[in-house]
Amino acid sequence: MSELITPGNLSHLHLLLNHFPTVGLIVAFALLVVSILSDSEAMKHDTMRPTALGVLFAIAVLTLPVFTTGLAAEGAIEKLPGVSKAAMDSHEDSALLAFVVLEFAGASAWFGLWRWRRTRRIPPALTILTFVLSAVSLGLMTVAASLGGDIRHPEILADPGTAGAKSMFSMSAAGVAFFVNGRGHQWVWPTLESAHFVGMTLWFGVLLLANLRLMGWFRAIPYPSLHRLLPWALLGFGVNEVSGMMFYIATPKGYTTNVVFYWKLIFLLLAATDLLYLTVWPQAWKTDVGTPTHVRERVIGAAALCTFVAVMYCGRMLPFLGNSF
Amino acid sequence: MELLTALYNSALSTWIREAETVWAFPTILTVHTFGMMLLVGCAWVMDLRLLGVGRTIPIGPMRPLFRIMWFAFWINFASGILLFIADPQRKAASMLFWSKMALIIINLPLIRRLERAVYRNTPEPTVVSGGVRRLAAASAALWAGTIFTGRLLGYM
Repeated sequence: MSELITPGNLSHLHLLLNHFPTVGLIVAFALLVVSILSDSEAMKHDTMRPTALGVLFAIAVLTLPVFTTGLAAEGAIEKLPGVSKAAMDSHEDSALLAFVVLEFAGASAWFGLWRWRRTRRIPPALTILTFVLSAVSLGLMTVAASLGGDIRHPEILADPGTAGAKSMFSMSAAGVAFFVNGRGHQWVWPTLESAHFVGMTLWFGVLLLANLRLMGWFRAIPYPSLHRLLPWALLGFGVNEVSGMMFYIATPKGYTTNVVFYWKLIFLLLAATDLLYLTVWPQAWKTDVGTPTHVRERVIGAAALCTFVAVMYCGRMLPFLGNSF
Repeated sequence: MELLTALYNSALSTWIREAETVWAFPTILTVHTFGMMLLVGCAWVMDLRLLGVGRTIPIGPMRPLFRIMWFAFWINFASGILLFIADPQRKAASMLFWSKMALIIINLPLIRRLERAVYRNTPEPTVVSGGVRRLAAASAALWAGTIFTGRLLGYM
């Protein structure tokens, strides 16, 4: 796969994937709004609202590769004539804030789904929180997308003099990089690495037991009781996403040109899919004491465990395989 | 000290440290990380349950987690010795390294006691005593300390 990791291809991938947090987010948001406005109990509790939350969670996950291919795209075009570094930086900073808010919206949507699986109801407070966070992230994504368009399409600017102007709705990537790598901050990187390992161990432990149960081990444990542990897996993913993104923003070139990093991203998307599966899958929820499990659940569980080990393997091997650091 | 220098100069130490293959140092380090996530992952799930998270999970059938933990411990014992052999003088002179060893040496008997205390009266315990909760909290915190000291060793 390493021959595919060219700046041009990654740039192309960024342009393809960026439809998830823009067009995709509009679709998820519209589904959520319709489910809120609808009088139908079925749409509120059985069909449309859980679907909206699931799509929102998926988009929050898919936005991870959108952000990470963005810095690769920067490397591909930064030397081209007419491309302004300032325009790329203001796009990146507005995209970073939009990304952070969207991740919180995704976490809130996940909690809604988690409660829904247990009670068949999504608590109104979670619906409102998800609505607000996704509305804010949609607004911020619009700003980020608009600033991204300006990079290669200055003709769409009303006033060419505003090219590269900072948006007030942004989070400074340079500030994050300074915090991680700046002078006198030598303690930050090792501390974040330690937190990254703590988070990994937490999500792996919880998801290991849940998957082993669905593979037919620990049969005396009813699956719904293990479902209660899943928020701790999400917490572990959250710790790792924050620490991982800080590494990435501080030293993007160590990752954007390393094929192992892209393998890790692919396995990470699969691991997030497994979390969604463990959260909502009806057959999993019906797995009671002594219930044997279907061969389908066993295959999914075994594949998921291999995926988790692959995420760890690619992360641990980043400095040794490929060319980073 | 002479012993450590001899160890450093041994063929095995040189191979782990300097071999131009991914199967030497990188693979041993990755196996050590795998053992860590298996050992501490199972330990934390057990500790969480004993501390009251997911009270509907029956404690009796969770007991095999202790066997997985010991299996993973021996993986890391072996891979850890190989990592020590690769760099014996610096490790032996490092406070971080000895802190990590101390945390593990305190934690191992704690885990033994925890398993005995949980399943002392019945194979299907339903209540968790205050003593067990304290043991679980202490063991979980020691694992966090072990991860931190171990990870920081890479930056000494």
